[in-house]
Amino acid sequence: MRTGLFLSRDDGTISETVDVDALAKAYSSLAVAKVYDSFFRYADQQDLLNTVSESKLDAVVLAGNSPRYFEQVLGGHLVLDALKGRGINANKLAFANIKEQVALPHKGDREKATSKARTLIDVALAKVEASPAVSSTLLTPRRSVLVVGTTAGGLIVASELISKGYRVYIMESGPSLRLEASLKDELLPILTSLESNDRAKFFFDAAITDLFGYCGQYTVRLTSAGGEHTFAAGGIILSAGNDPAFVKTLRSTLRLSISRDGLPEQDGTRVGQTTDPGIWFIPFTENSGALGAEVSGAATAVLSLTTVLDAAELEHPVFATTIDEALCGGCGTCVKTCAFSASRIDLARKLSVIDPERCKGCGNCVTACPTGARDLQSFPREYVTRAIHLLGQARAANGDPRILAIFCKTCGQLAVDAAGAATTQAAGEAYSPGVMPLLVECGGSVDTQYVLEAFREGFDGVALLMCRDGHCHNIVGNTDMERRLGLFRTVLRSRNIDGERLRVLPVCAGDGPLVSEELKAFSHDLTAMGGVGIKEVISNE
Amino acid sequence: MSDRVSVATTWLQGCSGCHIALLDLHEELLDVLGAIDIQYSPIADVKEVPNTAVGIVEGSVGNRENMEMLLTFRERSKTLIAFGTCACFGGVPGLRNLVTREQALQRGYVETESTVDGRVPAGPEIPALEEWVKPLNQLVKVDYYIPGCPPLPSTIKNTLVALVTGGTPEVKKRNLCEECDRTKKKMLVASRDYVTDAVVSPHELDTIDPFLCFLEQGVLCMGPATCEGCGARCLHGNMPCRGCMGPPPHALEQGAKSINALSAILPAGGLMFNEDVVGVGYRYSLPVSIIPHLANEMGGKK
Repeated sequence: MRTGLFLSRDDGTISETVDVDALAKAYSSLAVAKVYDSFFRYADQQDLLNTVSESKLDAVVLAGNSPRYFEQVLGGHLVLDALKGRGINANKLAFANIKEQVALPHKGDREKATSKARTLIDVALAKVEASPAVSSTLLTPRRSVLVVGTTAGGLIVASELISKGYRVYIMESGPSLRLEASLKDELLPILTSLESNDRAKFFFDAAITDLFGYCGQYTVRLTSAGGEHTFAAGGIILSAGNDPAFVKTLRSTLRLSISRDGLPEQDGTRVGQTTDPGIWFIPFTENSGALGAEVSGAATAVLSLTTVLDAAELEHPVFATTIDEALCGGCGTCVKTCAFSASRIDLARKLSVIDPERCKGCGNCVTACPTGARDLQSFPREYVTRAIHLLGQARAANGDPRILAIFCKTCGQLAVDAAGAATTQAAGEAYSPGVMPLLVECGGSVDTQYVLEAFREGFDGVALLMCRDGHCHNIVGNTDMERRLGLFRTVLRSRNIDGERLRVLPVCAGDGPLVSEELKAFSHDLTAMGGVGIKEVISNE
Repeated sequence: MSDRVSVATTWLQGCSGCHIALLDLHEELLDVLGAIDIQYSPIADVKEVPNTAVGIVEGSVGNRENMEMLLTFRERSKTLIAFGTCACFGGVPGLRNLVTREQALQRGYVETESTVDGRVPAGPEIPALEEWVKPLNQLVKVDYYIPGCPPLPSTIKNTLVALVTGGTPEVKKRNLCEECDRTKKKMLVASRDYVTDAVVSPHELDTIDPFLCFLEQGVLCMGPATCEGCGARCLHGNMPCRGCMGPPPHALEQGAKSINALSAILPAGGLMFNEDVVGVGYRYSLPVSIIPHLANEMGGKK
């Protein structure tokens, strides 16, 4: 495999603290190791892409901004799309977050920061090496949309989609329209046109009983007063207004993040964005119910969704979990664990079968599978174990306690990035350089075996950042992680490892200062506890 | 005589149950003895361990004498077999790793309630206890494994026959559910509800359904986190699996894997493994855990 390493100075933000040029030299044995001022400037980006083509690279490590930055910042994904266009598989692209997780939190400590950056690059290189290339599915987006909730906004969405040539299915949980009384007269023409249009279909007393597939092509099953219905939809727009009870029933099917008010919470930078690019919602605001606000809310949602669905073709990498059939005994653990009904047991063969249209690749079944038959493509077990080893090799100076901080791709990663970004000169480092970050898919993919691995590799403590209630994108990842780790403390104690060395920190995306404070406190407490003292490595032949 | 394969057997820290299992082959033992020539064993009065084609070692290594015997066997056997769960994974004696050697000796010889004026025995004729109990492969190269507490007589026979005929003994990789023919109902329903409301011990059930998965009856069964190969014999006896075959080869941690698996199957109270997570989860396999004994004592050994 030909791997290229590209480092970013981030216009000085990174290079001020991390000696990126020295790092490029250290990796000169790779096919390519280059430094740029920024991944987002025209000249740099063109050179990067041309280098990928000319050097015939098949794996790329970007050492610079957080992977979340590429996904969340407007247009951030365009450079990743361009890399895929140059033949880099979605799973052969890895990130070493040497900005938010090294340069920013450890500002002013060039030597330690550079050494930590090097470890993170080693980990990213291990990731592209251990991860299989993923296949992808190519589909033509369906020109039909499910509108959930008949607020004024929902009806306007339906009407606009019809005029754009889409078919719409409009469902309501109750027996009649949700439409605000004050807007009934004003929406009458739209309502009448929908009722008379055979491209619009209403379902009352309806509930979604099943939803699977990919953005552009979902299969929806619902029950309504009129019986059961199954149809295909390219996308979904939620327009439930201020109805926490209704939203709660939709959380797991639509994979919504839920705010404290019980309403959908925005994921990413776009208004109404959810974790799924085919599912959008109209946010409830103080102006909701006023015609102008309803119209603009609807227009935003329609634009966001149709921008995706108007493409001639959509390509989705398939990150479904894998099964080694030689190891599967058909016990059914994966069936009980999956929140998305993606696993079933083929009784004739006594083997587990995965439905890739339902699997979100969260890794909860990989953790649960007692034989190790399952694996994640995005974060394979071999990679995670190797990453813990590499991170464990890095020695913290000043005798600082060494902490393995494990966090998921969403809340945890955003919070750790925010902790780095919130670093100020006055407050000093955001957390000790002894804190080593390990990104995983989801809390549900945290195998308790990894915790033991971490202590074996000599970490003094393990911190697990957990999404708060209602925020796990995989619905149950946080709950299952907490259950498992709660029980696991007994196992740690049986090896003389204080249960306090394993900390679960509930965090939200914006909890940067909290993460910083908690990690500092953890370092402090671990210093008081002293080292675990695992030095001997068991050699199994 | 000369065309029979030479074999030596011994037992280290174990209960001799594995050797008894060999005798449990009954009349089939005669077939085996027609193919192998047992030149050394605990029940034969031979002083010197001979050089043999096959060495069969039962038990884990817990003291100096075990260690010396194992090294001798390794040196003098072309093929070495770890015989039984203790030899493969440390087994029940491996639970000693939950305390230090000194604590174990104090408890055993001084502190037990019935002991009067106890003292820890010592002297040149008594082999010193090793710091930690270890399975064979942490000390020497092991060629084949026959797990089980005790091993299934048929597995012993099949392994020996394979070796004698130049074949390779079969290696099992799946979990016990593969061999268990109990019906699963709720375990196969894609729903996040627990399969039972409560967790009970087998004796707390009025009747134990002999055809239904134990987990679905609220009884903790180690089957999912245990390697196949025993033919589900306890299940046929209407008792849940206790895990004696050790973890499946791609899961080092029987206890940790049970915790991972059961968190969505049985209610939290049940996950306390009937109040003994370690004793239940690691009853047979503590010495092959990722961290196989007390952590801060490991560093002290240098």
